[in-house]
Amino acid sequence: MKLDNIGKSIDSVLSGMDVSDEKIENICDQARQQPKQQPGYASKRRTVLPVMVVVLLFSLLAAALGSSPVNHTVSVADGHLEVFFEGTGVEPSEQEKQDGIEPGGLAGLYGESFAKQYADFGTYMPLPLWIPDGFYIDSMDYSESGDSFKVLQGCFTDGTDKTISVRIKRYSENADSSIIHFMDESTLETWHINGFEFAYYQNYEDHDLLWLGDRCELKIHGNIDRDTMRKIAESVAWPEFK
Amino acid sequence: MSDDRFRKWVTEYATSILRTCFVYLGDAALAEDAMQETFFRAWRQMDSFRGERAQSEKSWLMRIAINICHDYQRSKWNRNVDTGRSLDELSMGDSSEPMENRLAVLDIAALPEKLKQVILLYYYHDMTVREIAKTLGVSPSIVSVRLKKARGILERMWKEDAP
Repeated sequence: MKLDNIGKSIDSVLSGMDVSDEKIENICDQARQQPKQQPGYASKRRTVLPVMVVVLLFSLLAAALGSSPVNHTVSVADGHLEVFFEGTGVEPSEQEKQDGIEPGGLAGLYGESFAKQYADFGTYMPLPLWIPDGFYIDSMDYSESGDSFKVLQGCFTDGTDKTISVRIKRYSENADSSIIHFMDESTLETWHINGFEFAYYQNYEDHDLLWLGDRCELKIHGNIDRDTMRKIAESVAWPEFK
Repeated sequence: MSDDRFRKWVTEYATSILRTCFVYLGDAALAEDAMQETFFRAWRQMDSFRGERAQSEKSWLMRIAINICHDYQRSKWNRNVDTGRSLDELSMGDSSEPMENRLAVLDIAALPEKLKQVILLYYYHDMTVREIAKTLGVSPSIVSVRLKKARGILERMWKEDAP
């Protein structure tokens, strides 16, 4: 068996499993009887306790950050957490830029492509400045979603199946809906590191650390141990937010 | 207009989503429920998709389907449903089908959930690593690592299956 033949095998073995025209009509008829949700609507039908805890923690996070202008609402849809940002972003001052991360200096850790995109990001965002020995930058990804948000991500690997990814995301003033995090089967804690509060959650071998600011976020993901996750978070430089 | 668009989605993707759900869940009745629920949810959230999602309709539908299968998988586990029999019966039903193909489907179905997701999206739905990353909400690197792991497991299984 060749891997490229997987698709053909599935179709061949399950050739008797089709959706008839009659069934298609039936699905369309039944769907039409259901009300459509407005954009941004968040159904609470599938709300579960862990997600409610997350909602509470994000509210506490907003309060704890105090001077940092966090202004967002949190809701739950289909097992996902949605955070809606409002308000106006704060661009860094010249002094803050001078005190912040030198984009050129990032190239050694994150690679030149990432550093260049970071420099063009327009806003200085927090970033970890330490990644464990043996890990190297494997890929970077930059994308924009219309005038809604832009996201920059660097992925590190040690050559095995261990990976660490660092993602920064910035929402425009027009953005009314932003991040969606898959939360189920997770455990959740709050970590206080260098005066900043992270939501920490673990799903089997995957660990995530999330910090939310004013229309921006930093997310660190890794299938590494918890102590290493903490060390990475401790190394985060906060040019704009101190 | 949205009716036509929705009908096009169902016509185009229903069968492949049904088969994906079946390999994912290993139960024909559950797969049918999951496929229908995928389209009902897509109908309800159609306007959100049009307005905000920067991804293809296929990626979006697959994301919904996988989330539903994931939910079903968990509740199925809680109910202790034996899924193996149902999968065996259906995939072994047509004796004209080469054994190699049947075993391949069973082996994919037996993969851990996260590995099964990437194999189905990559090889069955012809999605790129980047599209899969968007669909699953993880980085392209993680998708690559999972694909590599899944390929390794399948190749080992197929070596053992070989006469």
